[in-house]
Amino acid sequence: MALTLAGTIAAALRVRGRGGVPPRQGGWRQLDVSS
Amino acid sequence: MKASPASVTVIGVGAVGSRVLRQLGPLVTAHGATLAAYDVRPMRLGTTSRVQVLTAGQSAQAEVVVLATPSPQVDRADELLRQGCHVVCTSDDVADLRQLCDLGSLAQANGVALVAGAAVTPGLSGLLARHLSRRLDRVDEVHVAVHGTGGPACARQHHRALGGRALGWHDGDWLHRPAGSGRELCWFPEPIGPRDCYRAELGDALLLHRAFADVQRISVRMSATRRDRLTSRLPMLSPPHDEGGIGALRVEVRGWKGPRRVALIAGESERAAVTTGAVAAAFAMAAPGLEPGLVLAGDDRVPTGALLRDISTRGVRLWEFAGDDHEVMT
Repeated sequence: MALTLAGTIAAALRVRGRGGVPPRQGGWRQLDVSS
Repeated sequence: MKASPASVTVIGVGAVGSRVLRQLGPLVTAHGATLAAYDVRPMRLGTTSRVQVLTAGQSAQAEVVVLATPSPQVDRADELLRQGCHVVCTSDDVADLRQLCDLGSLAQANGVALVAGAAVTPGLSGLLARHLSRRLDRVDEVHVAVHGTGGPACARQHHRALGGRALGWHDGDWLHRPAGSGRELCWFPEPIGPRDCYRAELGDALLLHRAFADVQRISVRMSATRRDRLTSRLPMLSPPHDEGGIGALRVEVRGWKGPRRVALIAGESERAAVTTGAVAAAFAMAAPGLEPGLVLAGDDRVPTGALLRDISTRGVRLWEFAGDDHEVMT
């Protein structure tokens, strides 16, 4: 029972994970590879 | 760089191999080179008139041979190196890349180049990391994230990668963690945008560590959905598509510029097979001019700028993240 419960919680945490931090400013521009 | 190769053979004409052949098509018309491949399917290739079709018994020997077959590629590479061919490998399998790296001395002894990891990751990731690193005084971290797959073999490889043991370099030691752990939200160039990425059993860390020997931390992650992670340790339940959708790459290099700690980010978003085809074609064109022995994308001796220019002229648009705040916390 305890093992099942522990496994369920671990699986839920593994699937859910933790959130990331979005970038607050900036954007993509073409990379200059000319030089 | 030396002149372009006089003959190129592409082994494996799947999603990637057919792109390599298309990319190298102008070699035939502009330089009169010989371009050959096995099992050419006209519908997939579209340029069969320019490609010499080899039968199973015919030798693949050419000045440059591109291996675009599923992993492992090491046995074929060994055989071709002994025949004196420059070999360009697109493998991203950890065990295969380890064995390919061991062939460096054989390549050197035969006076030819062995390019290990001419794909998106490894491959373009190393080139971008080297390009960014030249803007810094000192680099101490390289972090790579990848999204998407090329052909079916690539999709199977990525499925396995999510169920294996991830490899990372952390403060002077290899870090082995279960693949599918270490979630991080990574921003890729549009149209992909933000994706949850996880550690995976990818060979890029192995090659990046060789190319950036002084770097303290290297991580490689790939995007995955919850379903991908839940089913990663099971066999693939449905066969993969002929080709994945738009893929993307994100390379973040952290280090010091004077007293400031800085993070630089570059990437691309294109079909993974198209990008891999462009990278492999660029290395194939450059191979005769490369130093004999093992060649790794990101190595300081590799003509990174010329290769990136070649790749970008092949239709892969390269991006960098430009923000007001490039400085990172120490």
